[in-house]
Amino acid sequence: MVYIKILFQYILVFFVILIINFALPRIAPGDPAIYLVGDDIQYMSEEERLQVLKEFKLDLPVMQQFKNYITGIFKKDLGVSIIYGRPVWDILRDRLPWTFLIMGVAMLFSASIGIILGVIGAWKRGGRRDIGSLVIVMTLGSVPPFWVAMLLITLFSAKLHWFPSFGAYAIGAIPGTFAYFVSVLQRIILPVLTLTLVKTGAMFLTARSSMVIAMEEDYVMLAHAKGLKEKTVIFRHALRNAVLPIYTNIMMGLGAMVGGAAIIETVFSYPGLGNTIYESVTARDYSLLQGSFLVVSISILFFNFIADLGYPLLDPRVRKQTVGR
Amino acid sequence: MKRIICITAAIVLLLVPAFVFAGGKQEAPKAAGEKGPQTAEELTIGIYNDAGNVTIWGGGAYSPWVLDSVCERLTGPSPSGEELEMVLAEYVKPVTDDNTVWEIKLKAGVKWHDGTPLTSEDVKFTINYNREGPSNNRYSHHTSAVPRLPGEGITIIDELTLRVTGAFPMPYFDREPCAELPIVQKAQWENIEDPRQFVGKSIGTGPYMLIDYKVGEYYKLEANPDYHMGKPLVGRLTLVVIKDLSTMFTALRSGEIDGAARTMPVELVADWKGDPNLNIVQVPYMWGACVTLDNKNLPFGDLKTRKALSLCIDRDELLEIVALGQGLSGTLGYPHPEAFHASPDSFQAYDPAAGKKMFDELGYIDVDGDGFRENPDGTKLDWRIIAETSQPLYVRAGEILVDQLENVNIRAHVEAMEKASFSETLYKKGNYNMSVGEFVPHGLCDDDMMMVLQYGEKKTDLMPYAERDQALLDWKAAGDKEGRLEASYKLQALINKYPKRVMLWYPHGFFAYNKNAYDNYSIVRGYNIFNKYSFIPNDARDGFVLEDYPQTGFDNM
Repeated sequence: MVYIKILFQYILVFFVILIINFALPRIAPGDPAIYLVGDDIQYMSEEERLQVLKEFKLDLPVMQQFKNYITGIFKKDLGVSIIYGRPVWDILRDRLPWTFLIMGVAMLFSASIGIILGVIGAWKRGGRRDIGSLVIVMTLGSVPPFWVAMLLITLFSAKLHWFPSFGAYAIGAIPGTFAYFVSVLQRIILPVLTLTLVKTGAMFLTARSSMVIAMEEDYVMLAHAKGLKEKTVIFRHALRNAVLPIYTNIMMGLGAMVGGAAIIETVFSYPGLGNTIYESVTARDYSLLQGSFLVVSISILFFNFIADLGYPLLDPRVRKQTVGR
Repeated sequence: MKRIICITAAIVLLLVPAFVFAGGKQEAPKAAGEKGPQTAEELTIGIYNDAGNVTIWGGGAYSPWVLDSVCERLTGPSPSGEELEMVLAEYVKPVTDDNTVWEIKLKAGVKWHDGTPLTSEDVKFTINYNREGPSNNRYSHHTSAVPRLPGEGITIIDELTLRVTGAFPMPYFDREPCAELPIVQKAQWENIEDPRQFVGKSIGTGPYMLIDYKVGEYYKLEANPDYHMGKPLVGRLTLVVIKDLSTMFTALRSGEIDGAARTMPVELVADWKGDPNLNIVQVPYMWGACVTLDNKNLPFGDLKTRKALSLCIDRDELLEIVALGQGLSGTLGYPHPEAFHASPDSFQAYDPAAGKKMFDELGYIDVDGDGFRENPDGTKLDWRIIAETSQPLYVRAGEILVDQLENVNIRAHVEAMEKASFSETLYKKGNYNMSVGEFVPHGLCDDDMMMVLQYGEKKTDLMPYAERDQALLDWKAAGDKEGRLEASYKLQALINKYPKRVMLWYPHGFFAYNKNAYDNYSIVRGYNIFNKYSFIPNDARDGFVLEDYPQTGFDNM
């Protein structure tokens, strides 16, 4: 019953998001007709402007556009992109896998490194290792991502010629071949490294602070008093209780993962969704924006839902509360 | 645990050298003065934005040369060059003294990429489709406005010949639209109702055929072996979209791409000019930086206020500080000083003392003694200058303008805004006083486009400008080339007297390529070195390309 209630809440939120996704691009300043006809827009009559918008069904009354948008979602018809003149769904389908790839791998690395460093930091709190990690991770986390990206490109592409500086794969390579696979690997290293460097900070701080709080709890003192090994105290008692905020952080990261990293993808000319969102915002490409936001929203909702389902499994206290309701 | 560490270390040790050796590599540099390869099997060139579906509805905005490589024009290389040569046409000549009727004869034997012959029906269809087709595009106004080519005025004489009658004299018809409008295949386009949503491969007559396009990523063009001007010297062109400027030039230097089809920042030119692998070429760039004034509202709806402002802007200072001295001063006025129709007397003066006096006379006086002038009605004055956030040079120019205006006791401020908001403010909202931005070659170097802009301006002017309106009529009535040029000069003088666009500077263009990959590029006015003529046989380039363009920009680096 509780889960049905949660599911219902998510469905409600989803419809609110749909409305926001539709309204937001239209509320923002800008006009897709300007992208389509450029400077000439200033000399065009309203009829001429509507004629241009008609090709993308943007001349229709707003409510009709909203109806088309909602019904289109269920028919897998997200409209046609103004920038590319192609179905939005086709564009998103091409770009999502690349975003999943770099964001997923970066998430894996940043979460693993962040948690390990955070746990060690909390364990050796105030020590040289803790302070060192804190300074390094915080410094990297506060540096603009594009700057890190440019440094890595300059070093590894321009100076050392180790890795390519742009794209997701070698254009001539045939998908499915070993050469293609290697070209993909070569091209994910720099974006993933950049993302890992700038994203590890958040995970480190969450893990460290959760662990610090857990380490000060009475049950940890009791475990110590019982003469348990340090590792057992850390991993079986403290970390297990500190895992909820870390889990939440990971789930939120996974949800936001689909949104990509617009700046990083732009710097590396990586054909992901972040790059697409950036392009569609610039051109006020309503259909592409709606489609991109829709995918991002679904992803965030999905992982939040999974997170909600996971809490009771991770924490018996939540389980009891859930059962008690 | 130890086993996992060992396996991981082994994988890393195996993979790192593989990546290292598989990474981009540079060929041995050529000795100074030694020419690189004159032909190439394949070149990879970076372009800074997607050119859409390489059609007249999507390919013109960012990379017109990509479109020109696939769909050609009747004459070339561009409407702004000194001389024109025939591309698809055997001749384009007037048949009436007033240049109202022109005859076009197409070259015999020119074939579309699908093997069918190019005919006069295709040309007729192209003009009509642009003028009255399903949607306006970047070329429409050169069939519907200036020049205006009514459908009933187009007569097919035979398979290769047609006559086109303009609604008014068009002494430069061979330039505009002939050197501007890409000819499309009737058979491919006549049933397409939504040209902007066309996702097929455009069929053209050009030296390259589009064989693959990945949205936002790349284009693959393959040489057309039957090209009517000779088989191209480069077999395949891969055009990769790299939006970030730094990434594109880093990729060029690391050898990942063979050319960068975007102008190099001047600072980079100074740093890289000694690179043994690269050739950097100065080209007639034909772009300009300008301040556009809001002529729809006061204060700049008033002609005298425009003139007063123009007198107070020190273009030379802007050129030195913002463009690092690499270009021509905006005092040379509109149009671009190297445009074919530029009057030798074009000038936008800098005379702050005269500007101050004019502002005094117009009633902009410091009433409250705070050191800044107030509006004529006594209200506070603070002009709003807008610029795009993605254009830091123009934001910087805006800041310098604020200082220059302060010197004549006028308060102004700069607001940087993202692209779509900037465009909306500029074209729809109009709640700005000035904007700093660029003026593209099409608007700066094309006599007919100057008229399109002036007609547009006339529609939106706050106050009448009778002298200019008469000059427009004189221009339209001029029936021969000399008369048209004279009328154009007269119009330019008026445009520069009360400018809506205050020209700031005309930057030099610098383009770079890897000379070890291909070293046979040619310069085309307005189309730099990345143009189709750089890839066709050298003897076919005669007349289209600039044989010797002075490389003066390197002297003071």
